[in-house]
Amino acid sequence: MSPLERRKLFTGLAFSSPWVIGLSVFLLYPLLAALYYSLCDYSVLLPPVFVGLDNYIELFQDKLFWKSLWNTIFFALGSVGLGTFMALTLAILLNSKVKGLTFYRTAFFLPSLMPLVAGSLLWFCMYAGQGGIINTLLAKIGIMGPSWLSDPRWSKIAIIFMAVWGAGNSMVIFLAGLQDVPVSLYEASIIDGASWLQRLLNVTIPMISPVIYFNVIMGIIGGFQVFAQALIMYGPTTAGYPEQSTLFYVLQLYNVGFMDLRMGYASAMAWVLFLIILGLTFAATRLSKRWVTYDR
Amino acid sequence: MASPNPLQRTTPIVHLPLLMLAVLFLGPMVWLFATSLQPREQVGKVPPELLPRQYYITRGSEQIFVTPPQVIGLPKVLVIPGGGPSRGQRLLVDPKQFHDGTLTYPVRVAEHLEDQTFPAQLVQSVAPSDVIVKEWWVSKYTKKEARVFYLPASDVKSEVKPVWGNYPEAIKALTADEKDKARPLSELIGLSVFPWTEKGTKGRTITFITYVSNTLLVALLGVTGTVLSSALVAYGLSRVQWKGREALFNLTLSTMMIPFPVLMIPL
Amino acid sequence: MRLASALCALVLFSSACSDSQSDKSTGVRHVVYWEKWTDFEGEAMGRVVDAFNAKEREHARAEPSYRPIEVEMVTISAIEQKLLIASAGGNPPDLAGIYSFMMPSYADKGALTDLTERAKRDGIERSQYVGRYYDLAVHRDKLWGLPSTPASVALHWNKRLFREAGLDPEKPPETLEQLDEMAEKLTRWEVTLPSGEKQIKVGYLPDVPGSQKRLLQVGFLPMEPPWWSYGWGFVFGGKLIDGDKITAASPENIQAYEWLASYSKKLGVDSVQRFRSGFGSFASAQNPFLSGQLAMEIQGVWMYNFIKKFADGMLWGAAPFPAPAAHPERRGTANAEVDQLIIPTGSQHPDEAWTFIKYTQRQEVMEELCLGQRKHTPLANVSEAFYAKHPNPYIRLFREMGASPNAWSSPKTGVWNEYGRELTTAADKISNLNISPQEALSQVQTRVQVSYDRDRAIFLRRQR
Repeated sequence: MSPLERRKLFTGLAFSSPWVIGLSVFLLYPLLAALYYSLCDYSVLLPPVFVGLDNYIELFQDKLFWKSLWNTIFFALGSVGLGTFMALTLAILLNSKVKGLTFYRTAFFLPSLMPLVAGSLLWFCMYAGQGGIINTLLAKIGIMGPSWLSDPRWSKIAIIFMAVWGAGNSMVIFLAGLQDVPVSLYEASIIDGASWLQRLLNVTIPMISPVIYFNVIMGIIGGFQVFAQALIMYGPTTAGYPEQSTLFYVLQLYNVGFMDLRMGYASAMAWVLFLIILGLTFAATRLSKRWVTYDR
Repeated sequence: MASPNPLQRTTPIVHLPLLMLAVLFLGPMVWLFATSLQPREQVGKVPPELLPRQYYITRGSEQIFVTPPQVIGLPKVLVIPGGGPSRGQRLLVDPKQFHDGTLTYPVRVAEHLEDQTFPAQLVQSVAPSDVIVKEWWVSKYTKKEARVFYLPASDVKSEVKPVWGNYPEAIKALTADEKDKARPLSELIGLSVFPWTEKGTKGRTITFITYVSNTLLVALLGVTGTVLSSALVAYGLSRVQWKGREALFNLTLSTMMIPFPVLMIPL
Repeated sequence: MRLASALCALVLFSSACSDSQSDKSTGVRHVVYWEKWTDFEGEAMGRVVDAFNAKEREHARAEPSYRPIEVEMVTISAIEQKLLIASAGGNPPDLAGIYSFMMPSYADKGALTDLTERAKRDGIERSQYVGRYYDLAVHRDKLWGLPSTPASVALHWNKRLFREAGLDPEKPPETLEQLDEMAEKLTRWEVTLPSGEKQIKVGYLPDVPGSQKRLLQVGFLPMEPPWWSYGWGFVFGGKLIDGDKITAASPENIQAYEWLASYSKKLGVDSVQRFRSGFGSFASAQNPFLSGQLAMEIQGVWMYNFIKKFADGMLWGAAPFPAPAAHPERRGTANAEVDQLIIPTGSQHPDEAWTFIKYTQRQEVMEELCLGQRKHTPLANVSEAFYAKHPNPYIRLFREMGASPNAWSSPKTGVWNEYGRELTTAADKISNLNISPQEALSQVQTRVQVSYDRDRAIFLRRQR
């Protein structure tokens, strides 16, 4: 390395040092520690006992592991799919210069500011069967609403709706992305006789595909870690109340780790989750090379 | 006049779906606000009501706010016995137990119950369709005795009246010590424990101010620290061409993917 | 800018380092006591703590060299998790109040201080208590805590609804079969005929095409509340654990859950689900029992408090939960648990905490505490004044229920958390008629047996 390169390396490292130190202490150490614990039986109150791959073997044979994984995948796909669609729709609708733009933007963004706990409690109250406001309003238009929270077929969907309600911040990001689309492209397509739909599919979507990609990745990362809503709506001892239909992966992890006091097994679950998310993100990156256009 | 350029025109058709969606999105928050103004008893009502409604009765010129009426269901009489363990208290008893100005009811004597008779004064007789209401205050921690009334259902009226007092009550409810919840809000603010005051100091209690100031402190320090270090690191990553720059950037991105549970347990 | 952040860091660091009230300087022995109670229950214990502290200060005044103990009670929600985290972090409270079903798991994992020697030394014995409540604090022949307030359950019924259904409001069901019969008479529907006309019908109705029906009132629901849905087997003579074997799928347990499923069959799963999801929260006027939607419910000694608070004026009664007619001796089979005072391992002031625990076990103190919480007492001796002052008219019944040989408590095993969860989920599925009791319980038995064996193996390995 030349002296100039070495000096630049030193400078670069120096500037990055706060983050590198933070990374090692707060991310690297726990990550590696969790890996070690996952190979032990660890009940927090007593020192860990090495058991090798026992936890992982048990994990893959555990019916609840697969059930919670399925619940989580369902939720992640549902909330990301519906949420992105909704946010995109709203953003496109708001991109035109409608009257009352500020009002609409505030209206859609406001729910995403609601803290998770407060929002969960609010939706819990709204969903409650015969007495909830949602079913009461549905009854007024003649629809017999399902028992959102006690019917295992509807409980995950109920939580997905709640997640979509908070899609406001994705919408704001999409709006910003839409502003960046060069007007010249639109003008060119209009001259070529493109209809509104054709403009949408061939100009808008490809131009904001990096933003869509970003939102989808963040949505998946967040969606896989869904936990608080199930815990708040149903309480810690009910484990995904309607027949484990809301037993999400992290909730099962919490149950096993903090209620059954088996931190080793819980650490194994945590690492598996990490690898799954890593895998998905990697897959998404590969796909993005095909679908996402960066033309700058 | 709409301009010929499709890009400048606002399609009126956009308004309807936007309005409907705005209603859907804001609906829960409106409902939340409306419920926050309801008296406690109305909150869980089936079917749910939007407007806050308070029940009241009028005694002469006084308007007394009361709890929602409950139907008694059986004929009863309200009496005050002149003797026995419940002397001077108003008791709701079966009409069969009260006759000729005396009340007969079971009293605990040693290990068993025994019917005893005392002279008693009739206050009123209660029909099965009558209701019971109790005096109502915003704070559920008031130490005053609530008066109880037995009235025909038609005497209890209701009006639409928001309960703004719920907000200070909610703030007071965040106090850690049960006994302090009955104190007025202004007093509590003065006696709060801040992150820099010692808790043991006489009379200081943990109140919502404690929680808020702790949260603020954490948030401020967090934001300051993050912004400062991010700026430094970003400069290093973008302006300085050094080996390993790409690697660190990718590493940063991948750490955003680490689920919190992985880190939570060891820490 | 960098200076500002460095200062911030310094402030944060120093505030974390400073400790509150160093004992040596104030001459007071400070005991931190974590308790889960709030509201009037918390206040009742608060008064006991105040009285104790006052007594200690008196002692210090009389004897200047004595350093008084000062107990500070802190209300903690979700105490199971927080206690665990605090113990793991090496910073547990000096004293804590936990539920009896948490004890075995904590004791096995070494989170609790053994109190056997101290109890023996200070003359605290089983005979001073209602046997069950003392036994709940004993695990593997050692004493891990002492009872604070007990809880037992009984069948509660709504007298007004009985009268409206033509039943004698003073006569609760005495056998399980009677309970089923009365429940049918106490069930009401609102039926909307195809013509649009609405009618009120009583009893269990079949589905009629074209008309819609909606439940207005139900006589009894085994799944309401779902808190003890794991224990129905006991009413039928079944057990959850026999020695080292998990017996969830024993014939008696299966029979119990068939009985549970029969209610869903009679009422219709859909109708029940809709009806149940409309219930308000427990602590509100929309509680199903308090609002008159549920005529009979199995509930605990605390129910009186909620009736007084949210449905004052409601005419109600409580009686031992009935048993099948063939086994009248099993009448009153219901859950009994107790709150316990324990000293976590790593407590800084175990002896002082013990002094406070001993104080709470005195008859007059215990009675005051239980009276304040409006429960019965766990002690063998009860004063007449306690019963005379007690506002719950059925308090003697609850005491009997707790002392009865038919009462059952959560099994003492480290895997109880998981077992309880599995059983509750199974009960849920069974009541939704999604699975047969036989199948559901066998699955639970197999699964929990594996966990139990594993837990036992780990425990034995650590003993070596």
